[in-house]
Amino acid sequence: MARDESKYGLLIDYEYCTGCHTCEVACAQANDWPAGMAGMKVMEVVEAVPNDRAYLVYLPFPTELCIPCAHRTVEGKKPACVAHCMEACLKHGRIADLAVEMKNKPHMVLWAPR
Amino acid sequence: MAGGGLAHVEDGRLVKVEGDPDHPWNRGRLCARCLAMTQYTYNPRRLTQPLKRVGVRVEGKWAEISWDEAFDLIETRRGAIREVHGPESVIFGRGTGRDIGPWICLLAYAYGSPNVMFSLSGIACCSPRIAGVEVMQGDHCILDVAQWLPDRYDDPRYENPEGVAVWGYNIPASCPDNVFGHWIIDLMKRGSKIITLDRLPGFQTDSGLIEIFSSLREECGLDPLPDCLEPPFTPVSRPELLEEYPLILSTGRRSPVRFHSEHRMIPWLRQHDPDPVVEVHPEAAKRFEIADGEWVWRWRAMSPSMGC
Repeated sequence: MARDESKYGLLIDYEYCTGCHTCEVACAQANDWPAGMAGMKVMEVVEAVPNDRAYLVYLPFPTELCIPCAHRTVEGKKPACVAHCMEACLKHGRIADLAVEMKNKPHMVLWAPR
Repeated sequence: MAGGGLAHVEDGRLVKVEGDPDHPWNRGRLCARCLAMTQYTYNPRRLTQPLKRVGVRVEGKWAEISWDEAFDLIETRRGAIREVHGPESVIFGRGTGRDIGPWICLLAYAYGSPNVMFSLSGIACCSPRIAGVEVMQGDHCILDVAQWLPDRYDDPRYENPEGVAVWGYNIPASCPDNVFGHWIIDLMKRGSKIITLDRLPGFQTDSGLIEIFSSLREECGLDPLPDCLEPPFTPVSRPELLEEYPLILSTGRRSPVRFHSEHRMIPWLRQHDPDPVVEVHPEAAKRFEIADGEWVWRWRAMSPSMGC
């Protein structure tokens, strides 16, 4: 079945993620998750590249627990991770709109909830 | 907080802290430490009463006393020291807190002591940076990130800098130093280039790290480079220690959820950085046969501790 592009998703601009874990704590607070559980997890990716150098990138990744803050968005608020992201690198919106935005900038990931 | 926060209180209890979307500095953003504020406020290990030692120093036995009793005790003890040894015998030491300087100075001057000490000079932290720009420019300056304009970057008076020079400093991880650290990310998104000076060869000083020197001091006939006093515990001042203690560890690395031993009792933060970390140069690690991720014991001339 084709995904309804009018549905909401998250656009993750991982180029600017600094790995501060704010999204994870914001999620835990908004959704009453204890330490160790959250709807967002920041992945650290270290990739060896030529000339004895390494490439480090952080990727905020929505986990199975991400709902994505339905109780907040219904009130017109942003999901907790999006509202608090220190780098403002998370965006909540309609998948169709976010996909258009993705065309204009590299290093982005578009995530669709269940 | 490096910006505005909204504290939600229900029946006299803090239930949630969120970023204030109307605050021009953070515009709704708030760091992990602020967001975990309820876990600080109601932490079972949080001290809410002064403790007075009972028994001898190493026993670790304490009794709760009232604030009045604590203040009286401090006043009596400090008063006695001042009577016997004079107010100059007391040095008021301060740590890194950016906001503590004025208050500890007031306390010292009220006591009569001119001695206020900051314990971290000599490394690339806030005070040496401030001292550096004051010597160069006559005043302490900070990055212009439109923080004084209500509409911030959208204000027509503001011009995005083409480049921002950064050295000895990881701005997003060191938020308390002068600015809201992640403003640097805002600038990068708006096209500013970051110029890092850390890897450039420096002047021919001992360390090779001095990039910029004080032309003002030079014009006055003074040494334009800072002096270095050898601390008492180094391979230079105590070469015999090198055999038993062959590595020098410096502290101060910051993680976004931890700083030194701070924030470790907060479950939402501790999970991200649960263990103390020792970072060793790959060559030194090889020499001591330390593999990545292994636990190490580090023994220092003063006391032992552990990290991985």
